[in-house]
Amino acid sequence: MTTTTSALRRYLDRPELLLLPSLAIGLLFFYGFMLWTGWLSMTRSSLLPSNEFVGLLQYQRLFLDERWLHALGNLLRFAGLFVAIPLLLGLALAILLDQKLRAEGALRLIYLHPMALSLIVTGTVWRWLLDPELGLAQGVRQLGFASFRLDWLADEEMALYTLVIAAVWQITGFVMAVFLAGLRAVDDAVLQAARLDGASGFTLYRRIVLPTLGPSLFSALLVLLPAAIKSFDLVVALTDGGPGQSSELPALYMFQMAFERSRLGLGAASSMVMLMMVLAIAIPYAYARGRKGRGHDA
Amino acid sequence: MRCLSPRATGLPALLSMLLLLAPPTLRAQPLDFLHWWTAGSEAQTLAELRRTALAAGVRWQESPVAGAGNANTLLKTRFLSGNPPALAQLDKAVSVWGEVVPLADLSGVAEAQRWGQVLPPEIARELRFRGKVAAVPINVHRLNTLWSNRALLQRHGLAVPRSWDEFFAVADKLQAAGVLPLAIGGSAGQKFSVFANVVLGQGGADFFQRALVQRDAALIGGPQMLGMLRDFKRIKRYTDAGQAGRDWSVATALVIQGRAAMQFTGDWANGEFQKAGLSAGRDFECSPAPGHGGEGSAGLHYFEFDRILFFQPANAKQADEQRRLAAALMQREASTRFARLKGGIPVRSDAELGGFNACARQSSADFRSGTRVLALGAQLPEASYGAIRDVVSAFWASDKMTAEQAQARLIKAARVVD
Repeated sequence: MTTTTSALRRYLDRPELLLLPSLAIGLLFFYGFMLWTGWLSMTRSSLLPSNEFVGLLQYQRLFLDERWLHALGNLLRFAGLFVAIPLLLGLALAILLDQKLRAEGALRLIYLHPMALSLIVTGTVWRWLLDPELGLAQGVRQLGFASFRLDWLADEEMALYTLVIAAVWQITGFVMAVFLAGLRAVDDAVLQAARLDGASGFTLYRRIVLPTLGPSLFSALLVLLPAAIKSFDLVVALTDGGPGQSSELPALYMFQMAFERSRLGLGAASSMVMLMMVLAIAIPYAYARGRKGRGHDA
Repeated sequence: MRCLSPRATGLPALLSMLLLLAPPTLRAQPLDFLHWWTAGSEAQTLAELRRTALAAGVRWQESPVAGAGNANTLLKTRFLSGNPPALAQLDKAVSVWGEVVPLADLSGVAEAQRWGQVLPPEIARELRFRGKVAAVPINVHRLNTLWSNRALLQRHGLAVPRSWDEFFAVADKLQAAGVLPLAIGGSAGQKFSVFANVVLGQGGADFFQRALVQRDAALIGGPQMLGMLRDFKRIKRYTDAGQAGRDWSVATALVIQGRAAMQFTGDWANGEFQKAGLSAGRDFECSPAPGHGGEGSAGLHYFEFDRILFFQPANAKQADEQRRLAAALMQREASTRFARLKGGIPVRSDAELGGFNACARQSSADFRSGTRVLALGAQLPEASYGAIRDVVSAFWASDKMTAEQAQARLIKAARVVD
């Protein structure tokens, strides 16, 4: 009894040991499964995982698959808009809210509110709104515009943009909050000094405020870009990749191949490509931060 | 009951919880059936299965999972973790599972009950893997049915189309009269069933087998297929934009309410019409798809069937229970009851048809004396079937893709393996 208590006490005296279980779990479930997926992508796994090594065959198949290439193209368009529009809108909203409005708290809540909904809910709500027969279009028709049509969900060119609309609606409040925090962090003394120098309105923002928002911009980007790459639930709820496969994104492709079509190896290969894309964003960022950190120390 | 203290009731609860936590080998193992039959008529079928199993003296347990995709994922997980169920509902070819996990051997039961004689060869063959019977069929679903609203067609002086030419003529007239000719659901399966109906109706069963099952590149790339692709795409003009995200049953409701005239889908629609209080032949028509025969002549019967796959039993006792269950499920009366509850028709050719409506009787007659074609999904490896279906649904969705481009992609898709 006494030995166990003293052992426990010794353990509690070393707080870093308390981190071990979570570290072990993290290593196993995060990096372990990442490695396993990497291995699977080089095997002939179909319905169940197998260990028959086939080299890069699955990657070769992946990049010969028009459906995958199409999903990549969609991702490019989707991610571009999904990053650009929330950044601009969020910045505009943040600047407006920064004007010491009276109802700022309420407005902030309204803009942030979509964030509280899961993407599945967002997707379902927008699917109803955009339904060509029953949604907004029907409402407008009942107002008297009998020939009004809004059938983006059924249009292979436009379906992808319905995803952009819903995703922007969801995420803009978050970007606004990030920028608002950045704006509030601008030193009042600097602003006063700039005003004394004759800067005002637009110039004040362009020259003084916006340049200080760099870190906010980075944190927003670091959330938005990976979110775009792993977009899955919204696609499933809103368009299910359709019509046809016209609004399919890579994550949906991965899911369907690996879990519905018994092509586990191919699915693993596609998820590895997505991992590479996220790393391509994260590593330069981490590197830049690391350099900056050393710069400060020096 | 009142005198039971919380402590007294807590103890058995705790014990039973501990029992659940015990490793599987310590428990008596009932036959665990993994399935995704959760909708109304499916739940009824399930209750009937349960009754049949219990009556056969089998210890029975159910693991329901919502959605085929989830159920398949869970099934894989259970195999990977070494805790597989004894039975599972199956939506792939038996060989897909047979390649990766050990299956049960029900050949003895099949021989004793002469499955070879009472089942059509297409089904008997599909139950086997490497010569051994490993699955039991539950009921047959006909896929090539044209459902139509009789009153609506009659109001416009039109008859149910028997050929594709007639179909286009009828659809043109309906459209000119401001009626939606064809209701369709949003899923890829709904589009594929239209495509399969066109290929079967214009090319016949032999062409279908050679072009899509054996994937003869000359036929897929030939002029006949090009014409079929064009006709398939032409059908889209008679559908509406609301199809995006629409469930097949909502499309059926459009036909029931008279807001659309026709729908191509499987005989599960039968239940929707009956539930709405409509009667076959008076309010609605169920005819073979255009070009598929019927009306006097024996028609083409394009079908799939529900089946339960039996995995390798854990021990001799379980093996015995599996055999008893398989025998009970294939009893003539039991098999017919399943079909009546689930919709569709009985698998056994000697089944009685009392209690089935006109649509089911027509289907059964075609099934027995017509040309049977097993659904493409059950005949092809999943990867090839999926790739072909992708092309069909992309072609349907696209305003830019020409029939020639779709054909080129179809040739490529037919080459996809595992």
